[in-house]
Amino acid sequence: MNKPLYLSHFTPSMMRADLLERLFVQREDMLQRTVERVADSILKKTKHHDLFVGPRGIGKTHFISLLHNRLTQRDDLTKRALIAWMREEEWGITSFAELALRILRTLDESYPPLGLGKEIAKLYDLKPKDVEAAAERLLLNALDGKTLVLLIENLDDLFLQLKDAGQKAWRAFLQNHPVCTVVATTPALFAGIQMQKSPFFGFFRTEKLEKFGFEDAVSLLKKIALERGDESLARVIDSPHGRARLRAVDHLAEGNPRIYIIFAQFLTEQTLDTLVEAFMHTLDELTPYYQSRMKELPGQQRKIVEYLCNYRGAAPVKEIARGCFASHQTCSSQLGELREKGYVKSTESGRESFYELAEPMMRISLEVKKQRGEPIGIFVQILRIWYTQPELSDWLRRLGDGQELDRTYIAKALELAAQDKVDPKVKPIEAALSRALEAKEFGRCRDLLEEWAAIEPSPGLVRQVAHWKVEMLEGNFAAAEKFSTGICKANADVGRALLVASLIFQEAYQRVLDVVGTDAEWNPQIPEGNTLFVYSNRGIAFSRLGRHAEAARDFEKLVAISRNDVRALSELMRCYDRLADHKSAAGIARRLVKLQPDEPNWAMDEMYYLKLAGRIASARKSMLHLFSETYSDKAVVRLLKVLNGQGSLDSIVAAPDFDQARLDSAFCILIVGLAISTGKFESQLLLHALSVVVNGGALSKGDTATLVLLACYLLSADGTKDIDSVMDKIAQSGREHEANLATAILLSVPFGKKHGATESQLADWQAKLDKGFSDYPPSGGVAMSLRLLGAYLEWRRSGDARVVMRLSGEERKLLREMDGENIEIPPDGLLASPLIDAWFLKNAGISAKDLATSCPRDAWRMYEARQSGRNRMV
Amino acid sequence: MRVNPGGQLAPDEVVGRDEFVGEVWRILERQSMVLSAERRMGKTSLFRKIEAEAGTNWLPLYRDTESISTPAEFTQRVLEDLLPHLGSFDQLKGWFDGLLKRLEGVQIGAVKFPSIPDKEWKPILQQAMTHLSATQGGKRVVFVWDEFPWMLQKMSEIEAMEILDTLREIRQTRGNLRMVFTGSIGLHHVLRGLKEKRYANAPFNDMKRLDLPPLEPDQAESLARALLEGEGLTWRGDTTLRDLAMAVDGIPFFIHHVVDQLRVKRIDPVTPESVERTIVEAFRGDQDNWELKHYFSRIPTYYGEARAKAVLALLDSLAAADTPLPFDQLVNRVSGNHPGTDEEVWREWLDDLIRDHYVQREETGEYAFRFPLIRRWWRWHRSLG
Repeated sequence: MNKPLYLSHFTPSMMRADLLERLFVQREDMLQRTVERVADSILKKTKHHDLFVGPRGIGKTHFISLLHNRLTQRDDLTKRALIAWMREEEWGITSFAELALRILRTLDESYPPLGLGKEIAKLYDLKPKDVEAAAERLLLNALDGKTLVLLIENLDDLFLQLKDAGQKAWRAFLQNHPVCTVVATTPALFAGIQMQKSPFFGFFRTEKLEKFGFEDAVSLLKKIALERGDESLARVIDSPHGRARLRAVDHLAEGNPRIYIIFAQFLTEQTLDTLVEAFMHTLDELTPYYQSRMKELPGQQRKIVEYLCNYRGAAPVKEIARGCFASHQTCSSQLGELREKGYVKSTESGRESFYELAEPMMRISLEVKKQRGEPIGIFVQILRIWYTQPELSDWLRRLGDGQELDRTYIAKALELAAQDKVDPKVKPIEAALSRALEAKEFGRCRDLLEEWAAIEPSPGLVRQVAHWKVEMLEGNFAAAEKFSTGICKANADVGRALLVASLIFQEAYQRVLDVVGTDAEWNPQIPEGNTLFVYSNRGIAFSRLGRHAEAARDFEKLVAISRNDVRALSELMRCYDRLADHKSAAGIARRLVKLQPDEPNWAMDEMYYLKLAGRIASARKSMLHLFSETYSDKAVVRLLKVLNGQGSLDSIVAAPDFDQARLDSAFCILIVGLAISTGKFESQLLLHALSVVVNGGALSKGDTATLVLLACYLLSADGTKDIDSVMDKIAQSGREHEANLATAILLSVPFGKKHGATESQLADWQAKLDKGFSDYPPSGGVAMSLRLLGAYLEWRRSGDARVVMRLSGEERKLLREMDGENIEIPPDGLLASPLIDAWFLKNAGISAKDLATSCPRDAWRMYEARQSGRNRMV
Repeated sequence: MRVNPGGQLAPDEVVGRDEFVGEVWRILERQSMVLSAERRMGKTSLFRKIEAEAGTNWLPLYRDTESISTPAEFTQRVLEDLLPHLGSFDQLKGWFDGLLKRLEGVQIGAVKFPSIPDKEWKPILQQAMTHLSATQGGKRVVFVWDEFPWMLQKMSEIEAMEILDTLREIRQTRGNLRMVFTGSIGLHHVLRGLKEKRYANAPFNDMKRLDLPPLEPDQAESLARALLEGEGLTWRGDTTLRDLAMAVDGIPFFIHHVVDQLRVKRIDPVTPESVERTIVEAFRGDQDNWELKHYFSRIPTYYGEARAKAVLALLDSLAAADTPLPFDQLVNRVSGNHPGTDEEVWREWLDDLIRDHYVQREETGEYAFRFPLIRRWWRWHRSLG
């Protein structure tokens, strides 16, 4: 037998404290913190003032009731405080004097031994202007050194009535006598605390009472069921079937606990009659409030609120504007004002803002009032969701005479069910599943799939695909394969496509070919999406099995259908490469450059394949394109063109946006780059360039740091003594560019050897590096590189293999690479980009000699011009 | 120590103000003072500390005057504040007893409070101060009148002028009394209003002006540490505390808010990244818990609708510039949309912006936002990139 349980929709303060505690959900941490803050205010001189904000029905009174309960249970606090719980129905206060009187009366009720009654009575005999000071004094006397804990509900209403003068007087009292701590609630923020000129501006620490999440709602309903002694209902709520039904109801409640309380009664009432009556009573009490709030709004804003009442959910501004016959701009500004007033709330999604009512009860209240006499919409929807069609039909059959209201509701719910093509419980699960997949919460995904199974025992295609996705994302490819086999039975094409993907991830390429066959033509009857899917995966299988011609054939078909598929194009390009068809590879690279102009790798690929195809002029053009696309610095691009014989330095200087400093920097970067790429350099010019690059802050780019380090190496080999100061700067910046510097140190050995460095020059280089980093000890990769360099040189000097054997396997591997003969600088992503540029200059067949011979002349002219103090070169 | 943004701190929880309090006492030894401070700098808490730590020779009497709207009410509140201390001032007590016999009053328990007639406030206030000042061997009284500009604004202009002059006269003739005027809006705004009504006096020229600055980096760091420890939060990284303190310019109110949000969101350990995220969320939040919007919304109130646009243009330009701007450059940037405004007028407005803590002048004379945090918010709020 279920226990009777009194759950007040409006005044939890009328409910038993222990029951309130047991039904408390979600906010334990917030409550505990608030208790601690009030305790802090009571036990110390500090005084906290908290304001909790949340729409009607969110649980503010429940929160304050529990706070009151917990405070009064602590002896250490009750001995040193008086608590005045100002109930929300108490207002009607227009001055601070009246507020003080109300506080005194509340204290008199709660603490009769204080004997305040007689003193309060005397205050009524005073002149109005003297009452305030007298009430203040009486209050302070009553407190007698204790702290006054004021628990106030609907602070916004109180402020409205107090007006500016009353608020100022109250704040002055609180400031002059720091003996009071306030914990208040309000449905929305209001001008009295938000406006800078308001006395209470910034006074309260405000915190929002968040709406209930789905799990909170489940927890609350389960607690209510257990309180009633209805364990079977608690079990239903906790079951996948119950959760699926609750999930569908959840969006109707919009996280509002008061609606869940009503809903809890719905689950246990024997007849709808009593429930509808109770619900209408609830709405009757709310409606005047919402109607008065509507009246406060100007016409345009009222129209927007009405629109959102009918809309249900969050609407984009564009749609609201259209629905209210307003311009987008007007609508936006009106919505902004409504948000400030607390009527609506907004959610950003991408660049768009979506607006919905801040208080779900407002919609229900206004909707029901509008449709007086009609069945309440939310009830009909709950019936439809909670019960299956056979259950509703059975219920309808069992109804007796005099149950007309129930009959109306059930018939309406059945009508709704007949219109639904899909069970309304499925959509919320799909949405939650999609979110869980995105968040990679696979445990939750499995729970949701279980819920889905509870309401739809035989899985449809969509659910099976969802299962497959979960397994794939979790890396269970074999399990995914099993699901795809099952899917094949429902839809062969889809199933086969998923099966292929599962196999690809298991690297079972031959099995892929077994499944889809190796015929050139794929069944053209199957849906286009699957065709693409199969071509793509079969192409990969062919490719990984070394069957490049067949792979190319599949990818060609794929890109013929899906022209902008970057992945397919890049796979096709690699196939052509393997087939030594460099011309076609270059053509695909060009398409990729056009598709993704910000991706420099495609341009590099193009340059590389053009060069291999023997099309040097085109490779050169592509290189310039690469520079102009990848360097935002116009000065560098222009200078490169000059160095390639296009235009002159004069034309650079004549450009309208010419900037000497930028050109200096670009010039120096190129000088250093050319020195490295050609191995020829004028040490003074290079040193100057290094100095400009280092001092000019160009070291902010890691690639420049690498470049400089390598240039330093060259200078070191050249015996230039001024290198030390530059080294010092590089060492300082080493931490920022660790990966690049570490690579550069490793590369410096093959680089030096390539340029004919002797053992003693390499030893000198090591000494300079050690000196450079002595004041700025390196960490991580740089330290490892220095250690390897030392070990390498020691090994070369002593021939003692033990030096090498002390290193780890990975380090020994690096050492071997360091020692390699004729090591080409590879086009590896780790390398500095100017270095790669230099590499491509050579690989694109552009004569470094040409560049080097044209460069120094102009470069020297420029250098000399600057040295002689001229800002412009003619 | 627990976070308490906006609340009232216990005197021992006021961190990093010991030197400033010392400076206040040094000034009060010599003269009265006007203390200005940007909102939320911790002014009221500072006075609570001053009150708690006053030596045996001083009696500070703090009064928030914002609810007072007439000189008679002001006088009444001054007397009420003196009432509990009459035992220390014999001559004043004698005079006060005589006054109570003459005037009506309110009896609360054992104490009767006088009700001051509107027409008699001035002689009563002057006499009270005379008797207070004349008491030998007693403590020196310092009246701290908080939200003083608000009180003046609530009075009629004539009353405001009269009370300012009376208080100045009291300071001139009763040399051992001290007054501190303070408030969250600048007295210069009130004075400008009165001058427009032909008030020619300089009612504060005998008072020392002092500005309450944000906390020094070390002190701000100490506050951040105390609050994080008080809320049971830990932090990672050597610079986290310093980063937290400096990200909000060492302003105690914002330090409290950052720690509060970290606690609410259960972010533990705290890192420089989580601090930065908290600040960005505060900028974007619907509720404006940091009350940053008032830096914008108060402009028309402070400067009048007519000047507001030009003042906003000045602030926009300073916020948008990456470096401080010299006067000529700043005026060049704003004068296009405000042609005909005299150079001297721009100077005057910039001076007001300095007094209102928006702007500061660098050592080299250029203008810049005073608080980088406010500049950052301003750029965000005004979509200045």
